[in-house]
Amino acid sequence: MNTLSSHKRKLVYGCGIVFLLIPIYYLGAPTAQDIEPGVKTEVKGGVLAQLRVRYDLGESTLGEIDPSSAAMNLVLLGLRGPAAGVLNLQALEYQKKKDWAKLKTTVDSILKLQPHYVEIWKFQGWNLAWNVSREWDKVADRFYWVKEGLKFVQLGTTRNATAAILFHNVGEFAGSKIGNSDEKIFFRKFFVSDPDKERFDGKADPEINPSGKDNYLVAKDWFDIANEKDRQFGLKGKTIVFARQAPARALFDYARARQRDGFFGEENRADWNNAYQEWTTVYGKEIFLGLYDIKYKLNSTEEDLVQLAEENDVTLEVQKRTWDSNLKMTNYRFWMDLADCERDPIMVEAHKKIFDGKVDYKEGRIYDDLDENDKPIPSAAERNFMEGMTKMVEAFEKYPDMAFHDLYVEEGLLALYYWTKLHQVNDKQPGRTPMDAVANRAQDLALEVERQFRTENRKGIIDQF
Amino acid sequence: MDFDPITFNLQASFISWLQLVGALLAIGLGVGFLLSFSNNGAKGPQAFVGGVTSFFGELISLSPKRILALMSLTLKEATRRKALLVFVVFAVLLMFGGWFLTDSNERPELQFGVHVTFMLTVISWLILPIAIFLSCWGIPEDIRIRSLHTVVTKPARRMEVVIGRILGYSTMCGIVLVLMGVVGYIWIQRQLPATVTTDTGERSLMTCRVPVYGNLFFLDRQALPKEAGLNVGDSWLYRSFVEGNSASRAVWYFRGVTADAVGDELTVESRFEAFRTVKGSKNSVQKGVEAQYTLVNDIRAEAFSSLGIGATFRPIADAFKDASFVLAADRLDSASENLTTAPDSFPVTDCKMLALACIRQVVPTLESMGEDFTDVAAGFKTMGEAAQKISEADPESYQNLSKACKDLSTIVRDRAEDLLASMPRIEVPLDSFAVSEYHEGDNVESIPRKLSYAGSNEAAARFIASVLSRLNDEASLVDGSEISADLTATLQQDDIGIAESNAGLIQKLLEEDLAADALKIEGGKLVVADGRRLLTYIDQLVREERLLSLDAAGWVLTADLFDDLAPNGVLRMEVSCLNDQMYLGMARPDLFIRLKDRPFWVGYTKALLTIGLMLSLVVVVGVTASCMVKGPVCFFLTLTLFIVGQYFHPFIQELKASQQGTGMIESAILMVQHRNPSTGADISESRMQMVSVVDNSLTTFLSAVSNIVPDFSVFSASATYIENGFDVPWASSVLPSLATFFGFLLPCILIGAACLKFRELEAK
Repeated sequence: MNTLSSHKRKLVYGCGIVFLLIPIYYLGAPTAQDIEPGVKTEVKGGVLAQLRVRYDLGESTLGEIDPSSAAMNLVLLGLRGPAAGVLNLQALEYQKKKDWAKLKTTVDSILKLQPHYVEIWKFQGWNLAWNVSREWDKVADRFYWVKEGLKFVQLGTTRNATAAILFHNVGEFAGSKIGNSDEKIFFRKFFVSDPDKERFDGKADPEINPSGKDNYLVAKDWFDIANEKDRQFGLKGKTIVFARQAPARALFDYARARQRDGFFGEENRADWNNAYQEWTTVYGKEIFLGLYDIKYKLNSTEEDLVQLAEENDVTLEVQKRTWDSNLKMTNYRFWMDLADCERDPIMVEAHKKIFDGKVDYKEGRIYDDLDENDKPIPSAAERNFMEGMTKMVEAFEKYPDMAFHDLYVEEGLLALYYWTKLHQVNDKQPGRTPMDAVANRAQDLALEVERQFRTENRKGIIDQF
Repeated sequence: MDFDPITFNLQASFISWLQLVGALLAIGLGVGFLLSFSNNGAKGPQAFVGGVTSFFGELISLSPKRILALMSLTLKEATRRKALLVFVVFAVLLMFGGWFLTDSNERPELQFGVHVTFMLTVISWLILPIAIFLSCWGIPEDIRIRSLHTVVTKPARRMEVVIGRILGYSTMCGIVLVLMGVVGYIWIQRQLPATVTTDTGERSLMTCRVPVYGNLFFLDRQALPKEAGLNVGDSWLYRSFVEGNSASRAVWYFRGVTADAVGDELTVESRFEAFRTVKGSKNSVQKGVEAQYTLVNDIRAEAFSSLGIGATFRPIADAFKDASFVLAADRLDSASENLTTAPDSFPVTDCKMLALACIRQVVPTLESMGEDFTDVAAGFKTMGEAAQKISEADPESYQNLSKACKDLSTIVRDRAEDLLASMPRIEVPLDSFAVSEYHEGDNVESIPRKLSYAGSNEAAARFIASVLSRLNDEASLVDGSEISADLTATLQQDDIGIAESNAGLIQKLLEEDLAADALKIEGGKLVVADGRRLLTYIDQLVREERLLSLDAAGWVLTADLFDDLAPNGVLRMEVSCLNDQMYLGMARPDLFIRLKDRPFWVGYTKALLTIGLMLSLVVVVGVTASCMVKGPVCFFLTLTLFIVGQYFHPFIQELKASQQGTGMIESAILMVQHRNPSTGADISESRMQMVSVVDNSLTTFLSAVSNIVPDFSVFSASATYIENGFDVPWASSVLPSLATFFGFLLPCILIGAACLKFRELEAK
């Protein structure tokens, strides 16, 4: 039987509470510091708070905290796994039954439950941008859903500040999805001038493109961040040496897309020069780890190789072998030569002349004229094609590897095809051209060139939708 | 969105209900009698009769006053148990609901459905636990604390206790529902804008569309009727597709299309799905795939569309459909001859399909026509019957079919002119439109009553023939022995409205044919020299391409929507896809006539009503179960019945109806033996028979149980309509909900009261 009086009992309880508070405070005291996601630094606070930061287990160490997400997880009392499972099944059903609004809401709910499950951000982002968008018929609707996917992954980057792959994915969405889709002509326009005029007043959707830049330049920005995140936290799901080349490749794509849009001259040369510089001085100068953790640098001089061999404690031959195999794997030299060639005024002139020839052809400047002596003067189109072919062959001589690149060979042969057609139109025998040697060598491309000619005539030179 | 509103058949359901309740009553009485006999021995029957008499006596001596008193007590008790605390949870959900919903979809029209679904789900799921807890624990708790003793010693009947409880708890749920409903309505209005701007302009978001659905079938690329269109590989088989730039069509029949029902203008709305096999042109990608409606009054298609399903008889069917009745007679003659000389060229399946088409389609249509075509119908009937009896083993059957064809040919040839006059085809194509796909409410078209259209050759022939006949009757077609010189001017008058060039063409043709003695003048009227009707003559001119329009706009005709295109209130609408290599997908509810919209609150109220009925039914089931078992058991029983009824009822129905797969025991054996249903279980035939017997018994049991478990999914169907912007239809949602509720209410009261009456209340 308890012999303590009520007053004494209360004192005992009070002491007990104070005594128990000590280990609770020691273990569970929160940290008062702002935590930079993923830094894993030493922090002040309880033991559990320190462990959370050290092992990246806390919400604040992974990215922004969403209050609704935290509230939902609290309410579900640890049943978020099954709840997320049910919601995933529902999402699949909504997608099957094309209930897009509910699909999006359900996916959002899943992410409220599992905000740090990177694979779901990836999967559903791709699902919205690729699968859902293609279910819609009008191109403006498709763009809306591509944006939804892009915004979705973009949101994922704020919730998961250490997941470099999500940043890389946003770059891929802005670059490849916008720039390489069947609807790329529209998507690239919409990216800087949204079709929803009412909301965006003919400008870009600020959520995905706040500065109104070209999609490839936006992609490059995201790839840069992804590379930085990779350096800090590592990147899962992609080979590093390929992931790191993404900013430079975005610049390549940008320069190429500008050519497709009909921009030539100094401006485009500068684009190619930027790409070349990015490829050789940024990407090429990065240190990567090869087989057996041998460090290598793609843009290495002989001295660099010797120095790296010493650092890696391997022979120069092993160092060179590692370097060479990675050069081949990344096709480093090809892209370097390509950019070098494209920034050369000769190649720029070749592209321009061939493009001008096509414009002349399309606009009907295809008939020969007669001079005062009744001698035929070749049409403007014919002259441009001939000059273009001449310049291109000059470029081939300067950059021999490019003479075997299908892209250039096809462009040259297409110019030859137009040129031959012009002769048919003017009822005259085609003579010899500088492109003949290339044509003889690449006869297997004849059918493809003919197809391209028909496509360009049907759908236009620039706007080839 | 995939709902397909099906009208509830109240009469058939009522008959099934009577049968089921009767069977249950009989079983209940039988069990009661046996129990009484076993408990009371020889006095059992007397006790049984006494018990039954007193039980049913209670039915006629129910006191509304006592029931209301019990209901009021129940309400007080529910309030005391803090049932209204649910409002706190509701308020919290409303405060934070917007976090989860508004951000998800930027477009307000996409947010609408999500918000409405959220509200209706929250309301039902918050009140549901209250309904289950209160109803399941009420009576058992009264028995436990013996408060029921004070009630039953009063002149209150047991049945009144049950009804009072049901009414009390249902009223409590109703009050909570109404309050939540009002708050929810305001919340939805505040969360969403009143209007949205779409490609087609500004429209109100908070409305309830009132649709009238039709029946759908498809025509394939050969214009032959098919139940479904093409499958483009979508795993969701809800929609089937029509091919672009082909004869393929989706055909809807709408009934009740009269000026009184729909007003002077017909509004139709669609939501088709586009499928491309190629990217399409730049314009098409920006605008979307194009569709076109065609309003058709075509009695020939109604009569003869299936006649050509068997390829052998297709030329005959084509001639009938083309109104070339003489040609059809010729082809029937030819078929008759071939059936005698080369019967092998007539496959049995083709003959069987011919029989089906004759008996099920041609004969009923001909019989339904106003004019007397019984002889033609009889000819088709005879041919159908003969075709039905075709057998390769019976050469005489081919002879009979040959004779039937010959007889029909004679009839058709004799009645060709009558058939031509009485079987018109009017086809009014409307302006094409770009399909908006999943933008709900964007593809709305208004069709005026008076329609101007470029008529087909046949329509032009009928129009010209009718005009010339009228002028003939008015004696203004001819002047002496010649065609009136004013005919061209007359034909251009406003009431006729033929273009000058075409009017001149008619005058010229008539004068030429009069000079060539193809026409003659008799009694001051123009007649066809060989005695044919004027329509037949004009029809021939059209077929000979002598009446090709000289006006660029073609033969511009006018048609009245109700008089010409839907003469019996039945409107046929054909939908085609205009783009080559593109497809349009559609299901029955994808095209509907849109009546005047109703305010959003109308549909919302109906949705709340069905939720209220669902909650009341939960209360009914809970109270009934609580009369039999204790609180916890009752709780789990009611919860189980709700879950099964809500989520698994459709699955049980599917199991009952499905012809695929095997029974439960057989499936278990197959699984153990790692075999599949096509190879079958590796057991002896006698054992297999035993397994089948057991499986059949289990299926019968499942079937019986499925009727006892309430179908709670009926109530939630109303939310589907309202969240998609439709009014909740009476016949396919509200009525089945009411019928389900009342169908269970009466038997449950009887069962509950009986259990309470014959239960030992002292048992805790």
